[in-house]
Amino acid sequence: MAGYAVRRLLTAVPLLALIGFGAFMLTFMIPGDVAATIAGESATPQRIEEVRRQLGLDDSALTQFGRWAGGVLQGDLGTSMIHRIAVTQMIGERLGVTVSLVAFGLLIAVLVGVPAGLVAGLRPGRWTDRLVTVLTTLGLAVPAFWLATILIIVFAINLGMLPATGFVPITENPLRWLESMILPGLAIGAASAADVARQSRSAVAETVGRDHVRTSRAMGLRPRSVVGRHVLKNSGIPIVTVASLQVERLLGAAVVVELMFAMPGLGQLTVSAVRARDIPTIQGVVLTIAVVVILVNLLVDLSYAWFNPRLRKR
Amino acid sequence: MAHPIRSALAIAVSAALVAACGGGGGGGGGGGGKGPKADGTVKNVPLASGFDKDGEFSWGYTIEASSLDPHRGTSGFDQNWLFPVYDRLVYAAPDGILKPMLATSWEAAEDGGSVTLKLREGVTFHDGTPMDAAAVKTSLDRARDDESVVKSDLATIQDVTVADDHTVRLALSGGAGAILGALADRAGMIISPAAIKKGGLDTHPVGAGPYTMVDHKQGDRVDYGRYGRYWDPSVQRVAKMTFRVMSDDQTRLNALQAGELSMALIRQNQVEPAQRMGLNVLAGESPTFYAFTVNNARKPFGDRKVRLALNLAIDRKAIGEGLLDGFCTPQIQPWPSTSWAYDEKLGAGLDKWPHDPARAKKLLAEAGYPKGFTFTALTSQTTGIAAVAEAVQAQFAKVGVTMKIKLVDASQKTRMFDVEKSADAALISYSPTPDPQGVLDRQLLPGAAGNPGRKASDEVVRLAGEAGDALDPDDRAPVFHKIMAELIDYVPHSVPICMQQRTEAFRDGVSGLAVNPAGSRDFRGVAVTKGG
Repeated sequence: MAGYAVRRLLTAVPLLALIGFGAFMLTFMIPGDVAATIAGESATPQRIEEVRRQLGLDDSALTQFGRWAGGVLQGDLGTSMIHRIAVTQMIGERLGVTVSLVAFGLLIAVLVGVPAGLVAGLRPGRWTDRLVTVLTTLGLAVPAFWLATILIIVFAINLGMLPATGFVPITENPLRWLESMILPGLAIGAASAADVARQSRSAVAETVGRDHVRTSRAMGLRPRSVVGRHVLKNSGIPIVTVASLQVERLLGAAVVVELMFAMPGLGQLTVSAVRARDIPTIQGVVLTIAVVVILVNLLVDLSYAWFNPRLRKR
Repeated sequence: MAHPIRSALAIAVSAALVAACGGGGGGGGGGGGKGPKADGTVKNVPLASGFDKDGEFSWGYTIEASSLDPHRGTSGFDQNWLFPVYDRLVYAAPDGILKPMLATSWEAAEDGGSVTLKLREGVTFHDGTPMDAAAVKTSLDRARDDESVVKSDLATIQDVTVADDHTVRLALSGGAGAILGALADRAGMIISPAAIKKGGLDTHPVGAGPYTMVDHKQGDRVDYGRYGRYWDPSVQRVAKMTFRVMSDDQTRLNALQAGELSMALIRQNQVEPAQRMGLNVLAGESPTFYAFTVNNARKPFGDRKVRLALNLAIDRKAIGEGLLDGFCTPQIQPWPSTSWAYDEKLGAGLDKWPHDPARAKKLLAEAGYPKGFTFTALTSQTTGIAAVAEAVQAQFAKVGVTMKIKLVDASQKTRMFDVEKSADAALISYSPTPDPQGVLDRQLLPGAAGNPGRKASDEVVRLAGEAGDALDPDDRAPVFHKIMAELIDYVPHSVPICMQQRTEAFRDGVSGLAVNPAGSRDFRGVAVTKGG
């Protein structure tokens, strides 16, 4: 199993290189000029050219990519062209926000989605099933920004129970961290909870109908043991798969939700970096997110082996 | 998929929720109904008695400082974040008059070749370093070095010399008047020489201002605390200030309503909603204006008749008062009415370049374009400028001129219009410099970055030199009025459409506010009452 993990991590290296290259070239294709921004509003054309030279922007795209990749191999993501701060430092400061947000969203997705799916899937066709189906449809149809607006109006402005904006690091004050996470977490997690509920429902419904579950029931096993040992474990793979897919969805939704709640996360950093054509920052964020996604996928694959012993041999 | 059911349900639920929420938000406001929307806004808020000395003022703004280093930041809005920390040599008071700050007095040499500044004694920077002539020289020299973004503001300074401990002399190549205005802004912020040596000013500013930076979370906030040894404690009316980054417009309004901010920038179309929520609105003319600009080295813009025709085709009133709800004052002068450079007698000048499509058509025919012509204008997708561009496009169409709009971002516009000179025209939002002279230096003179055609009226060039030499606004104003008259006659490549108003919402209890004539936000002397 350890060997499998190492092999998977090794194959991630060329993948990351490809992603890094792709992102770099995409940035080059967007028109605009960071040198003009840096040189200031009343800069002469000569000054702008000078800045371009200083930043090495007059080299070919490939040369610039090579220089960047060389730095990355030595653990150096470079310095933001706009803020003149190390990219690793900027990402480090903001990673906590986005990770908190995604983790909270995922927690809501699993804590709400799996039980709802289980309730619905165990008795397909009953009113509980119908209710879950309606709610999940609603959850998937409502966009995060709309839900965020409603949550802010109701809970922050009218009831004054929770903050409308801002983020408090968990290390600074865990309680206030929790308060600052609830509304954005709900806004970001609702659609995922609905998705997880749907997939869990169909996985559970399918397992419940299988022969061995029917047999277990017929043999008089206690319902709790049937559900726990046979139904849930056999539905595990599809549920974990859909939950892991949520990580990517949540990362995407984080951009909007961070903006609406004025949280200084990676999403916000990405938006401002792309606007300013701050290449080192864009590259750093893309690489960080790629690493997160690859790690999550690896963990998911490893969990398959736990759910299904037959896979362990490979 | 049961789509009809899904959407019906979604609509029903959303309608119910919106209805449920609508009730709570109201209260206050008054005024009622439609009518002129600028109603109920204030231009300034005099200091209220009984403010809270231990109070906290928080402000929400759209973008963070690109850097907290006055000489290195790339954004023209950085100074908002720097004012609390950095005192300038000269202070631009809300009425536009320059007053002593770190310099207590100044005097220009008879020939205009130098300005001598007397410095305030006994002032120390936040790190304990004394503020003296040597420190001022270090700071000004740094502001003029090659890496400085404010270098051009100080372009006329040839040399800075230390006359004695508290006197510095600036040797000038002319433009003594304009230099004082520049010293009231970023270029005149004096940095501790010890901190310059130490480095790290991008995130750790060290000035001699009323507040020290306590904490800086990049992309989120800057926290400021009262500086115990400030030379004028009477302006330190709150104990703490927090400036927060909130790029989303609705988010700032939410934060105000939830009491998480004392004050925030709002958009013009948010004035009414903010008032309905019971918030107060500060509105006043800023020196930022929308302008239509062409490259007059490209055909057919070299022809004065064509430029005049386009000017007459633009309906400034429809844009400023209609499209922009009265929050953009239609005028042809590139200075706000609050500026000393503004010619009261001329006023908005809409009678000089009236909206006259018939005459515009005639002029175009005379210039050899009876059927009009087609060109492309660059504009950015940000702020309200895209909407202004579309209005201008429709107005040009009425005289037979087809203007294609190309949406680009600001840096791309700079590259295509200013540097490569490959664009015909642009619709821009001109962000000001501290001195009115900036419009000439940056837009109108032949060497200006915003004048890719390099053409201008010789008379304006001559007058610009004259205007820069005088020190006293009273002496400079008549020259600026002459320049304006000449501009009307010449029809320059860049013409204002309307002067934008700055709008900010604030909660009850905030006082000591005024609209800064330079357009930036300096909260010097702001106060809050308990619970405000």
